[in-house]
Amino acid sequence: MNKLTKGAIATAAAVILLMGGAGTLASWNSSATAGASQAISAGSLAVTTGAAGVWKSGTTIITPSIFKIVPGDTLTYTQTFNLAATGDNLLFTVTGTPGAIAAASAAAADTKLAAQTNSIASFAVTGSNIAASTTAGTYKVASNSGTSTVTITMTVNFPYAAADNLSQLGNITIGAGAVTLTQTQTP
Amino acid sequence: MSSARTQRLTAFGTLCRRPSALLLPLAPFVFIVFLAVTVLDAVRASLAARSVAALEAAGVEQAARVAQPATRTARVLDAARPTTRRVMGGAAALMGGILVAAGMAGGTYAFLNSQAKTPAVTVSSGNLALTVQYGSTTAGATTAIPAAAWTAMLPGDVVGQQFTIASTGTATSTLTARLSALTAWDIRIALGACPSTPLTTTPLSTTAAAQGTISPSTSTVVCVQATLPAVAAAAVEATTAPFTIIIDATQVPTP
Repeated sequence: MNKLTKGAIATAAAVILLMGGAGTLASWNSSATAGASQAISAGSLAVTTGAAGVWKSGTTIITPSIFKIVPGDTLTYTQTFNLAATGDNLLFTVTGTPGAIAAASAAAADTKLAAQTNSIASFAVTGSNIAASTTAGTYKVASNSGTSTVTITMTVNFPYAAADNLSQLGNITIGAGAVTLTQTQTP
Repeated sequence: MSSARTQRLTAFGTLCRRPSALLLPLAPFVFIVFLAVTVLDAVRASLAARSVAALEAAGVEQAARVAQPATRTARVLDAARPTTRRVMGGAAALMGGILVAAGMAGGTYAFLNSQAKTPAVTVSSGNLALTVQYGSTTAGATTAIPAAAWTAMLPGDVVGQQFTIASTGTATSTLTARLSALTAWDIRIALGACPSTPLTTTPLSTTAAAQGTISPSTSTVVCVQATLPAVAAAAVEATTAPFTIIIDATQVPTP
């Protein structure tokens, strides 16, 4: 096949490709309107921080920055988040992530204290427009009006059995915990 | 901001997040450019061949040979010379590679999601330390109790002396006491000032025995009584027996 033939075939292919976007020529045609114009709105899913949270040791309210934790202590942090969810078929999951514990510095006491403490998070979802779905941990929107709250409880444990003297006078930072809402399709 | 502008910005945001969304519509144009260059190159080669044939027909015998590179090296160089067709072909191949890579790196499409965070805090640990102090000596990890009061003891004698223990730090603790080694003397201790009567507690042994609790940042007097039992062996006569009392403070969890 000589180059002219190849060129012609390539040109034809290019023309066909270009013609693809040009639309069809009109022959007899007709149209009728299906239904009236409608406006459809999308739902929403948002979580925002509510009132400032509270740190407690047992039932006593504490200020973490001046509190001295000792082995056997359990500190809890409770905070409420506002949950805005609309959508007739909206399903979502709620997860609570505890703040990560990290040594405040590379000092031995800090790293020991960080190694001997741990944090966990639990949460409770309450509200007038949210209902539990079939799958545990999945919620559905029961009404597009109303408010709901997510209360997260973050627990920092300093187990008595795991402690030793090296963690005395250490400093740790407890990072930001998080509440995450994620839309899901599984009811 | 108008809704149309919001939509345009949203579309731009989508393109920024997913480069493949920006590149994919360009693919047909790249292909068309590649085809066009192929056609032009074929036409140019055809015209060149025709002009050589025309020259030969006109009696220029060496025309075809002159049109080809004279040496083998020159022909190899000619074969490797970048032509418009090769450059565009390479560009098209590169574009295809980019599209495949962008498609793989595109990630997932976002569904509805939201996150809010709790504030970060710093927490410090407390501490616990115990010091012992005899009389006006400096408080520290060890203290010496003078033996003068315990000299020339006879069987049945009971002599007590006092020292002070202090808990520094932030933790409540329990106290235990033990002896480093047993002697012929019975050694008893009790929190508080020495009574005038003999202590009735169990004599210390080398096994730790509970002695009560001590609160953080407090101190207390401890009485230590040495008793030479009435049934002491004759071999104990005229001997000395140094002893060491070891007091441990162990932090207890806050109730």
